[in-house]
Amino acid sequence: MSTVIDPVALTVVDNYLTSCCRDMGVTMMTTAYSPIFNESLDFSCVIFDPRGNMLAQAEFCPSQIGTIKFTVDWTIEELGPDGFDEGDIVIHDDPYRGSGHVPEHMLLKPVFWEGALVAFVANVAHMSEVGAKTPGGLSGDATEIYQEGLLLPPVKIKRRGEDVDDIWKIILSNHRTPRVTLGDFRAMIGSLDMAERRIHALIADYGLDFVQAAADELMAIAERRMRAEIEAIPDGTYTFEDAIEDDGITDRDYPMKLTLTVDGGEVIADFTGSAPQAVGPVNAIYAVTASAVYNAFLHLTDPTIPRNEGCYRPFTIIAPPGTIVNCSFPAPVAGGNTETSPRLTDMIFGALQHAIPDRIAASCGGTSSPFLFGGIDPRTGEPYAHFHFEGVGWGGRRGLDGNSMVVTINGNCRNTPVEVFETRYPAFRIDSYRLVPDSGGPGEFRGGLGGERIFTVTVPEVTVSALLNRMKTEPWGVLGGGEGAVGGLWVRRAGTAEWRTFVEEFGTMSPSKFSGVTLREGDQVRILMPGGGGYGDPRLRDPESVRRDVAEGFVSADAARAVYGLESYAGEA
Amino acid sequence: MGEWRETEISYLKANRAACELCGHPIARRYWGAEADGAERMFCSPDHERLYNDYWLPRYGRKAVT
Repeated sequence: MSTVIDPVALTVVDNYLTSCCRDMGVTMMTTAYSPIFNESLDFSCVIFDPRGNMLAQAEFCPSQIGTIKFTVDWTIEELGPDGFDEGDIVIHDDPYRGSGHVPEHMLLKPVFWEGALVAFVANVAHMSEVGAKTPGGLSGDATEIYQEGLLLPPVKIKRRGEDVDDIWKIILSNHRTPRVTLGDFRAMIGSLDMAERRIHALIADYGLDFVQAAADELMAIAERRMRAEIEAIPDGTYTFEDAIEDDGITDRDYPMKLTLTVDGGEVIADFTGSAPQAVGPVNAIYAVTASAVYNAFLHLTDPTIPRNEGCYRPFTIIAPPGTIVNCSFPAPVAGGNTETSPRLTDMIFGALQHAIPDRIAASCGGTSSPFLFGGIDPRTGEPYAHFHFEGVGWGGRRGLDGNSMVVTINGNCRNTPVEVFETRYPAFRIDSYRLVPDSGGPGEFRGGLGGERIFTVTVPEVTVSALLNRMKTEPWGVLGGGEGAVGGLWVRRAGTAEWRTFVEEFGTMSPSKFSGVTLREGDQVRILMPGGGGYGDPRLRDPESVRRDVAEGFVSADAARAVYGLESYAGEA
Repeated sequence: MGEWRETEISYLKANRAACELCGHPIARRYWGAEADGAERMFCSPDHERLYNDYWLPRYGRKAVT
């Protein structure tokens, strides 16, 4: 017997589930130990049905929301549908089993009602320390997955409500900062427990049959609405190419090729022809590539479509194994999820720029700018580690300039505020942090500005690593818009006056991808974050907007004249 | 005519099979079907269809992995 559901009740259930996911995130934000949870919100929270269909998500990290589908699918397949008991919690971080990269740990809890499995609640979060070759993980010159941290296939850290001590011991013995790891995992578990109670409350109020029927109907609605959005895109085959610059090991580009076919309500994103997988850690695994495609289309379509499994059904992603968009074991993958992912999302926009010019944006800065550091806190003798990332300029789009210094499109995270950065970690003092004029690609709608951060080492020594991209190739503009500025990374040793690259100073192969470099007290680091590409001909930009940009310091007077064609601007005699 | 099949998950074997169309790694359950003269593994019947309708006309026969 089918259950008839009125639209109001459906909306209530959808909003309830989404709200539950948001509250899961708030729980993690407010109870975790590490700033990457408290400040950066580098996590996501999702609810699934017992078959592994995504029912709801909150607006956290897009790359994780896409990959968690694959992580949960793999977990259910590997453990089997009868492999879960009430009170279990499964942990899983293995990229070759569907995780985005090793630092992202998924915790999954089955939800039972009257003895039957009725749902899964899950969160995935970027742990600030994972036992990789250098503090903070994301070693920019890793050559195999084993150097990127402790690999955990789906195993239970709680069984029938009790901690599985042996698993906890293995994890905490492999992380440099076990106290922080423990606190962050407990926050994730608290979030799952809260979600379980919320689902119980929903079923108690509405009944299990109703909730399950509503979930199925919401997925069907999401699929219909997503297909309708795709049908509004002109049928055709669209192509785009971009490249990742160096992999930390070899100084060469890794081209990525996209052939995008839109046919009615179906999309095939085909990355055949992309470069073979890299030796270094810029490879994306399949789940990351698929997630990047989903992310693009969630940007391009109606944001009111319920965010569940139905949204994803119209898409087929083809990523040949052994390539930079779907590497084979045991290739390193850390930067695939931070650097390659935003580039893949942008490639969808680039391919569709002529088909749906009102919806796409130019390239964003395209790097999460991961800068990692760790050592021993001289104040306490305790180890510390941190994954620091920065914002970039986003691409201009029809009617709006790009965001300035917002974490790149795959992240939806926040950077660590200066005050927290300096308070929580003894290693650095922030000397300056600013937007960089003229870093946004010129356009009728300007690219967002990149930024610059300079900081000084304040401890005897600290170990640093980096995994940045867009240091050589500019973020592209669209439809006549110009390129954004590239980023950079330099060091100035204590007592010297010259900024030098890490290649010049330490002999790293790459200027922006390396690991385990020791800096000493008084050394300074300068990170420059890329700007976003511009949209449309800059000569068509509203002169008042150019004058405002000059007044605000976003665009120089020279660029206002030479690039935007403005003969006079506010303040000029 | 294809059918749903299962493969073993072994911790002694590093490399995993992938869908012949999309490249997605297969955990346990897969759609096994004869396509283009060979037994192939797919995520789903839909990917078997796309192998015939999309892949073959564009790229030709794929070596069995």
